[in-house]
Amino acid sequence: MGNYIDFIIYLIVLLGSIPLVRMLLLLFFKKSVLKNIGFIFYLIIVFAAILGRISANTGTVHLLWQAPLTAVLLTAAFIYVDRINLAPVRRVKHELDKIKTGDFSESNKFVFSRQSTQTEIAEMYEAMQEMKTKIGSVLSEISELSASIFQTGEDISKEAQNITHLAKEQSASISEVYLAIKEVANLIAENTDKADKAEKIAKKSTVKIEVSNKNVKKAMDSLQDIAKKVNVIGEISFRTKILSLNADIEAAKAGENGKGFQVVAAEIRKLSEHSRAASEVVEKISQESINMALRTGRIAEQVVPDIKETSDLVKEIYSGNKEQNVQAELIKSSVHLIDNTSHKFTDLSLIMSDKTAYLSDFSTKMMNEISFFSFISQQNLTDNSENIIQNPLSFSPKSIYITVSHYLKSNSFKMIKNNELKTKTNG
Amino acid sequence: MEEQEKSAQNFLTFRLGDEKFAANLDKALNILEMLPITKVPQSPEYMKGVINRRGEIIPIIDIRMKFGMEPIVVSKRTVIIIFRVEIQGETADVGAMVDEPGTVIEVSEADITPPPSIGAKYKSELVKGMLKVDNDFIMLLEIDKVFSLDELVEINQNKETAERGK
Repeated sequence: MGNYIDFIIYLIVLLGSIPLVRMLLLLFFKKSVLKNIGFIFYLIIVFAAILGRISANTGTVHLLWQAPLTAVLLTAAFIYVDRINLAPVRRVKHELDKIKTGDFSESNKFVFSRQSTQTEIAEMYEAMQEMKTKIGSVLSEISELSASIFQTGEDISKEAQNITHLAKEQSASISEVYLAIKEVANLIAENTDKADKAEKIAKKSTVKIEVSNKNVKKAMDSLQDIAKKVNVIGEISFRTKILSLNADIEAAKAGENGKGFQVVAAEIRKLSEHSRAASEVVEKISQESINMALRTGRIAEQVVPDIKETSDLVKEIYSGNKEQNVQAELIKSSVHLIDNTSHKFTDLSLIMSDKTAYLSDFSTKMMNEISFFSFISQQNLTDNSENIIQNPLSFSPKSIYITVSHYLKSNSFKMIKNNELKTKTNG
Repeated sequence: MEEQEKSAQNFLTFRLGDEKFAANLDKALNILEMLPITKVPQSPEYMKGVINRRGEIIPIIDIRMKFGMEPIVVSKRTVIIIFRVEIQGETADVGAMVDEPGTVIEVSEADITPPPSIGAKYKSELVKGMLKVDNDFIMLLEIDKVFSLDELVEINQNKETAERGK
């Protein structure tokens, strides 16, 4: 009887330890798998202990079936642990295997049994699942971004080429402008010199004209003197003529005796006629000369202010030219600066072209790298990058890569490559 | 009178306007340069006035007006020719203003032609004939008739303080 009471107490203690052990396991291992495994093993130990006690009471004969039973129980326990508690580990391994191959596409979520969900492994699986989703979306975003980077790179490359072309043209035009401005500046400088010379000449001519004007006036006075004298001669010859006529009249009255005197009178008259004719010619000529001198004087008087005005104008032109000279020099230096800047700009645009080529290269490489991963993007099915992806449903980095390699073969890219080569050889 | 019988005669030429005229040299007394003429009131227009010649009062006639020309305008060449004219047996000294004195020419009788009777520009009784000199014609004036009686009467009256005008 005592044995039964002992056995019952023993059983109660053993069974009573089960919740204690459960509590202890929960306390120490919390979400660890050991919590479940340990509990199962404890149950087996309890079972073995009960069996041991029973066999101790009944005899050793019962040990023959005790060992195989324990073995079966252990196996069952291991199978249970494996199936229920380690299943998430296999799921994790499966997912990791997929990730290893770059597959980030979402798989059906594995639903675990109640016991297993409370373990760290299950949490790990869930965390990994979450991480996979996140990485997948990040990758899809990167993929998109690299596609758009590639596209932008393409655009920039084209623009850069345009800019290079334009910059070269601009540089050429500015160089031409610089040369033209230089020429203009030289011409202005020449003009300034010429204006200076012209002003000096105009001044000299003013002085000379004034002198000649004085001379003309003197000549006019002399001519007027001559005219007066000639007038006197004319008068004298006229008087002589009248005298000779009177002599003739007197001679006629003297009859035959006056014949000789008449001849003399006629001679005197002839002489007076000659001198009168000569004096008339001289008078006429001197009058003409006076008129001419008067006209010359008047013209010279008109010319003097004209020349003075010309001189003043030339002076103004000279000062204007000087100012122009200064301005032209300023323009010249400014254009020179612009010229230099535009050359630098051309260089920079070439460098930019070069860099964009690199950028294209990089983005291509990046897309190449990303194409290793496979995922299904949910957000980007409605994305506006249709010009790259012909079939939005089949969107994947691989399709992008195909498109990219198509671009690589296109001429625009070749041009970039060529430019790159050129800049490299130039550099 | 003796000279007229000779084959050649002497003439004194002068200019009135653009035309050349001539007068017998023996009719001329003297040629004077222009000198101040004293105007005589109430005398006809062609009567320019009188001058004093060695104390003798001589009337001055603008003979241009006698030929219907414009009144004479005195110039440097203007001279006064004093003629001794004979009117109805009386002789008188008269001065004629001419534009320019000419010369003394000797013209043979053969070169003196009578004046054209028809279409004469000037009063035919004043023109004695035409002198042909070097393909040029000079009108020979009948000086006595140029200074007509009426005028001379006037002149004489004017000389004695003229009271009556025409």
